[in-house]
Amino acid sequence: MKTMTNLLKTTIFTFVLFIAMIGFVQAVDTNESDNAKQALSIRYDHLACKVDFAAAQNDIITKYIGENIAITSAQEKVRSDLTQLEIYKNSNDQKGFDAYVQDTFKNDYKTLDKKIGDTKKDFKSYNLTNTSREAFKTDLKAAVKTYNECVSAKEIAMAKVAAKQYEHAETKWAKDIEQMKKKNMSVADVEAVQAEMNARLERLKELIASGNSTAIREYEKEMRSEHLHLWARFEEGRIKGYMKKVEAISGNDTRFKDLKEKLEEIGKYTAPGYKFKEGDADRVWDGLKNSTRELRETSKDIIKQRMETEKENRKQVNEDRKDDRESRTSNEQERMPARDGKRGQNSSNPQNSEDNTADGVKV
Amino acid sequence: MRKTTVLFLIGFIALALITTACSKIGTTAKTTTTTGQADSLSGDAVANLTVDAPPNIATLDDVPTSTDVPQ
Repeated sequence: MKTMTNLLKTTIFTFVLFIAMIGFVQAVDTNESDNAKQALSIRYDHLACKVDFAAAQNDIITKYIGENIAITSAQEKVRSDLTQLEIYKNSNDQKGFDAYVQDTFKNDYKTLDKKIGDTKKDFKSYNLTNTSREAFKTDLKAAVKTYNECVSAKEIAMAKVAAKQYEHAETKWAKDIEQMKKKNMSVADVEAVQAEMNARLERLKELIASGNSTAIREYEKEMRSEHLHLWARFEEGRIKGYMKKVEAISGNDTRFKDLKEKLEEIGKYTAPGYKFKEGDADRVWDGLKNSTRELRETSKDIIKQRMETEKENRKQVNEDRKDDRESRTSNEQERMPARDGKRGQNSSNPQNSEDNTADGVKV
Repeated sequence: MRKTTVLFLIGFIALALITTACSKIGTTAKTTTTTGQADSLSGDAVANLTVDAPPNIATLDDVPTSTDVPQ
């Protein structure tokens, strides 16, 4: 009985350990949804920095000038918006969060920020003493400092998430390149893009480590503007690699001419150093999707055609063999009377039989 | 009994590791087979080729805020 209890305890312990191991493996494998969830949380915190800053400014205004009902009312509205955004954040509803920020929060906050700005602008008209005036400015500077620190921390946190997302994309590219190499495809173009991405990612990581939020902000802006272009260049290189492979196999099929022209047109926009203008990204993307579809269809046709040709060839070879056999049988039958009595003498060795017949030694 | 427990644990962990390893080998083997088939079909490598949309890179919301301090 004691042994059974111990065995049961051991089994439960082992089971728990096993579940923990699985959990650990899954935790290490950070995926995109984790990054998106983290990003949403940082976005919320960043907006909270702004709402807190507005509240701090309103407190200072109330303290030195007196309560401004319009500001307090606008502030309550923005605080209520933040509560709604927290609900979206907690339910991980990014679309709801995006829409609410765009349609409601931004407008409400703009109204509040303007009211505070107007009061700050007119603060001389409130006949404050010099001491109160200096104290007002000192308090305001302290609030700005707190706000800047808050925002700076969120910028660095978001840059870390962005770096993870770029890393995730880079890992996907590495897998794509590996697949292409396995299929003996040309990877020079895609590897060049990957190298650029790596260099940019390393620079971003360096800036994150430096903690310089202004430099991070500027560099991230640059990276984002390059992101679509770099991605399009990679996909274009990938399609070209696949196309070259299929084209080589197809014996330079003329149907690739149209596809090449399309890719050349796309290449005008994906050339290194080109900056996407409005509408370029969509144009390139549509072009890449169409080229891929065309490549798939052309490839499918070529395979079908090749298989039919091979089938025809095999059929022809079989027919030729059949004719050959029939011809030999007919020849042998013609020679049979002359070999009468010796038939079957060398039947155990067809090679000998053929040689003998060819040489005509025993005929 | 303690010895049995330790042995049981070692065995279970070893089994878990072997399962993980086999799973990885299986995935690799599957990929290799697919590639091999693709090449043997002379061009079937593009049968499932699709362009992947660029992923969204997270960014903070652009909400202008005045930090002016009156002079």
